[in-house]
Amino acid sequence: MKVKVLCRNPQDYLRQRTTDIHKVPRNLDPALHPLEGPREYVRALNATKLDRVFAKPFVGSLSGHTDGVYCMCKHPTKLSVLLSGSCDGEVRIWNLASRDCTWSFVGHEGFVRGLCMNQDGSLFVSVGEDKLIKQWRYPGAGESQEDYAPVATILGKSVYLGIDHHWSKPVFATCGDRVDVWDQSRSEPIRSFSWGVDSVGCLGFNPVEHNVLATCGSDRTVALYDVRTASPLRKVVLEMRSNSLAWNPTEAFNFTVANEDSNLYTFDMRRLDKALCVHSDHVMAVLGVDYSPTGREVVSGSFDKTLRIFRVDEGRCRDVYHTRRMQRIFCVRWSLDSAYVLSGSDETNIRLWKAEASRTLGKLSGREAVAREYTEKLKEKYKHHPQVRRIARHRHVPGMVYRAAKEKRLVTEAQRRKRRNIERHSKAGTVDEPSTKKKHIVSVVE
Amino acid sequence: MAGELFPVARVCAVLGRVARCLLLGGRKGHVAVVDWRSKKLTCEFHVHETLRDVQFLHNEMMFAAAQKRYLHVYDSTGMELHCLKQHLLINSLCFLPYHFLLVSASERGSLHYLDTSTGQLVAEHKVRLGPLRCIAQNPHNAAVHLGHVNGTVSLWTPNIKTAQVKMLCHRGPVMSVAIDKEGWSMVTAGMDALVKVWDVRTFKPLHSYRSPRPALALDVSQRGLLAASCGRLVQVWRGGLRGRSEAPYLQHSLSGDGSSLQFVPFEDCLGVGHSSGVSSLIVPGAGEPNFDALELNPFESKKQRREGEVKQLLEKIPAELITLDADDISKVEQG
Repeated sequence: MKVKVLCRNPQDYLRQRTTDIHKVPRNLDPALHPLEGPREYVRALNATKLDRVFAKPFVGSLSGHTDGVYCMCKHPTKLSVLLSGSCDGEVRIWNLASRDCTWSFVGHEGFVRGLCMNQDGSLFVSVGEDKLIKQWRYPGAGESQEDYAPVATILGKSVYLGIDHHWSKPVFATCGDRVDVWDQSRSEPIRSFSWGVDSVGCLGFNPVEHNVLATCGSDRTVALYDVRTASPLRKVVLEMRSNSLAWNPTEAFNFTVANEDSNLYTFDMRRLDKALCVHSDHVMAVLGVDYSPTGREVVSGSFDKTLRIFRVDEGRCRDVYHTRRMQRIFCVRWSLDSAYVLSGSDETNIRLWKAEASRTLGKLSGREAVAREYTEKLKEKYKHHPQVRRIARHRHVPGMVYRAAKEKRLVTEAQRRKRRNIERHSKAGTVDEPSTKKKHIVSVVE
Repeated sequence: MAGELFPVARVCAVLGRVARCLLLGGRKGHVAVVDWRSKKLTCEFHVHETLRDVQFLHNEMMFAAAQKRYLHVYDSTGMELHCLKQHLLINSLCFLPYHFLLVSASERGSLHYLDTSTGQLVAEHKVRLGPLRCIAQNPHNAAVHLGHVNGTVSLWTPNIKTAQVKMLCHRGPVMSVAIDKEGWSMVTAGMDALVKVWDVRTFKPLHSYRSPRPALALDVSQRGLLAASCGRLVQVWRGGLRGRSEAPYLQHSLSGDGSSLQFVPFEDCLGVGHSSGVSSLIVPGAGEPNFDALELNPFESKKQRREGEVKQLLEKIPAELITLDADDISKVEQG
């Protein structure tokens, strides 16, 4: 009688040579994989812990400036090039891969207040405290640093505080006591805007709708202009002055402003009466902001010596970077491959950080990539569980920041509790608590 | 297996999770670990006192023996590693592999959960239903089923100090309990010579079979075959869990009274320990043909075993997560 019984040849399941990889037959039947819920949860918890273990965001620093780095400019087509201007008038061009300075020259007497490059990276413009606008050619190979001189110099009537270049035309705009729009070949502005404000601190051209320009004024306004028309569009008045602004590169109508009241506000250009999101995690004035090229995240540098990365739709930061050696951060940039973040600070250094703190630099092997995808998905699935959330959120911050944040939290909680009590003990409908997104906005002016 | 080696009343035969080693514990105290495929003796020693149960821990390198008074843990070479004096008069042992918990049921009616990775006693429950002799684990949700002298079966988890569920199963003491691998059905055997099949999710009876003698040992294979040792007879039922089958698939007469029973994982074999030794029977269709090497690999090398052990420890589930509903942690609270 023939009896059919399981019979395995070990040679089918063992590797032939010691240099081969082991054979790993799989059977995805859930009967062979019991307790998948708890096991996945433990894996998610371990993955979150390992994330924190491998969170080493600092890559390197670019040192060479002799005074605080005030402004930075990314090259539009070359990932490894960065321009920076410092408070003593020096402008340097850096190679980010080797982290050394390839070109340096004295641009201005006094602060270099702004740098911008044209759309193909052949020309860049700098403005300084000496009321000069200087246009420079991007230095090619074989140029000598001694003979390096600007292509054109324009003397203005007042100090210029910021500059930005149009994304398609050979046009740039400067701001100081008013907003001037310049053509590259002219020495007089083609258009000037001023809307009742004594100084305009910073401005930015919209990367998608190229003719729209946003500016931050010292009267706590954020104003929008169209360079094709002679009259301004609209402006929103906030509670405190905005120091910097950045446009979302993927969503044409959204921009984020970095405000003195330690918050960042993301607005939709079409509806300025309500902020899309209020990002509040800094404890002191936010001085610089930049968008990731994906348009999903924002990096901000603040007076409290920390760099924070926010997701565009979330009010709390995703990550915070700080070092003992890094002092007040004046400007931040997100590299165009969305992998690195740069901070220019008061103590003459530009620091290069990873955008995702625990990410491995370089190419992952096939198995590593699969494992990484799996752990990312697990962390996302179980991110609401209290233990996982506690570990994922935990960050060490400097003592001053921790104490200030604690105090801020106590104050806001107390205020909220009082407002709630008033509302609860008043007649229904008489007390109206304004939403966070609206309450920081004073007015909108058309 | 040579019967002369074990001229004793009962033999407990236990296979490791990957079916490489067979652990034999005789009632009078003879312990042996045999490599089941090559039939080589890994270790053999005598503890010189009553041995009630033996159980492998997370892999075949360590095993626990419930001796006359205390619980002892031995290495695969036979060296005694621990003598656990907190665990008195243990009758039966059970190991939860994903939680690294050794569950021991004592004559004094207490249930102990010992974490074998940290050595901590996670929970000790006073069951208060008489001496505990019969223990089984539900592999699907890691709950422990105890069979009691008054015919009830109770379900326990380490978090809760009382039984989660108590089911009245038999008239007379429950002799043996077994649960299928997917956690759908539970089989109980009582002194009333009935083998009953229950739906363990709704706790309702499904069907029952008459056995010639009260079945002292039960096991369910990976493919859902049910084996019962009733006196000198071993009966194997195929398809007996989902539907009622009319007659046993296989029957075998042993040379001694059967005391322990275990299907070999991933093989079509059934190992029976009885008073004359250990027999292995061929049962076609019992084993799972396709194993998952990332879970249990019968052909693992030494290096794979070691790395697997590290991964198992890293992914050890905390004892607090054991609930009757295994998917509870991935569910969203409603309302």
